[in-house]
Amino acid sequence: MNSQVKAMGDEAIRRGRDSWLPVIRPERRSVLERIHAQVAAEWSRALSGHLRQDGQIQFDGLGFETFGANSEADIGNSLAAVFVIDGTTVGGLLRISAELAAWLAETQFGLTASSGQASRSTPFTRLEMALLQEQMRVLLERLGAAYDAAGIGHLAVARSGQRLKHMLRFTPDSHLAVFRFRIGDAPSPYTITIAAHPDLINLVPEPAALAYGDAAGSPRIAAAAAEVPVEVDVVLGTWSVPLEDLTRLKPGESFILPGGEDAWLEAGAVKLKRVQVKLGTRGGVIETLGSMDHDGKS
Amino acid sequence: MTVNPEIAKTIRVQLSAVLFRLRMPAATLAEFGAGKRLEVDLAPGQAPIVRLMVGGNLVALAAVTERDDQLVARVIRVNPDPAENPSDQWNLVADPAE
Repeated sequence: MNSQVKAMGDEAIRRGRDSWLPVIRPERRSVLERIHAQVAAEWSRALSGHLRQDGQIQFDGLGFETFGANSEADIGNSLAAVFVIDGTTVGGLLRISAELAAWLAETQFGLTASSGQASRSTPFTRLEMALLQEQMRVLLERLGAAYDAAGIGHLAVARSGQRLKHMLRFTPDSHLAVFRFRIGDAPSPYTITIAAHPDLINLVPEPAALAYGDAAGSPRIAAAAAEVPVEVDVVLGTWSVPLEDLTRLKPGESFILPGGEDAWLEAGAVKLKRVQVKLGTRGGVIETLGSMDHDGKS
Repeated sequence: MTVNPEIAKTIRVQLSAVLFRLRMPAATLAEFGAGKRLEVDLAPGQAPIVRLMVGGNLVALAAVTERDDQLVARVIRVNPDPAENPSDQWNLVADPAE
């Protein structure tokens, strides 16, 4: 096979592979981005003692990469933790770049890491590793809380440390959903990365009101409609007055209100339910008496 | 703009007294069936205020007091700012969904 034919073959293989790229709906992408932006804010709070005032953790975005291309996991002093989402086959890893790990290790001991150049070639000491593991535990805890709150599932940590790539059962061609975070201006060596099986996307609860593919009257639409907020007025009563009386209305004037026995609930000028209102000095009770038709009749 | 006095004597309008406005999910409203009760509480020292509405427009605010077993409204402001919402003085203490 000459080199031109081989190149064409590689291109066909590449295209074929690309056709299996994970797909994410815009609504789900938006939800995932929001969740991870919140995670970034939580992490910033958790690491506030180590961050410069102008150096918050920022969520850099979601992308898809092959496991083979995502080869930073075992570089130098980078630190990683392997996690799974309980009850699913979704696994992934959380990785702190070697530069950020070095920064955290140095600031743990009250040293001020040199601005933008915190790197080291020597391995971490046991004490440094223990302290870094604690930082990793905090990051995973915040991430787990965010995933729990978002309905993704419970995050369980399988192992944390260095050189963990072999623990993940991905082939080099496996696509991963990759969430990138950084501290400082891009490009920054101070990064945190979450790389997970793309099925993580499917664990995000469908945004009910925006779900595709539903015919009118489906349970999903009904559920979304049930959550629509309605503004309801409690109307004590209504009476007919000459316009002249209304134009003469002024502060201090008094009049007797309907007693509350014939009150109703109204939304958008539509009478909904007949209620009885009992008012006291400290509050009141509204009791439903029955529904009303469009003409306001019980 | 003034209204012709003759017309003002002839025309009658429907004046409504709105005690307060609640915001609730449609499902909660649907479940608020016969016999269900909704309890609201007033901040200490506050008198209930009703909104006097004509055709969906707020025309006045009135304080409500009880006198001889009757509810009496005393006008405290005419043509108030529509953004003024005396409903904020009420606290829901028993939710109809419960």
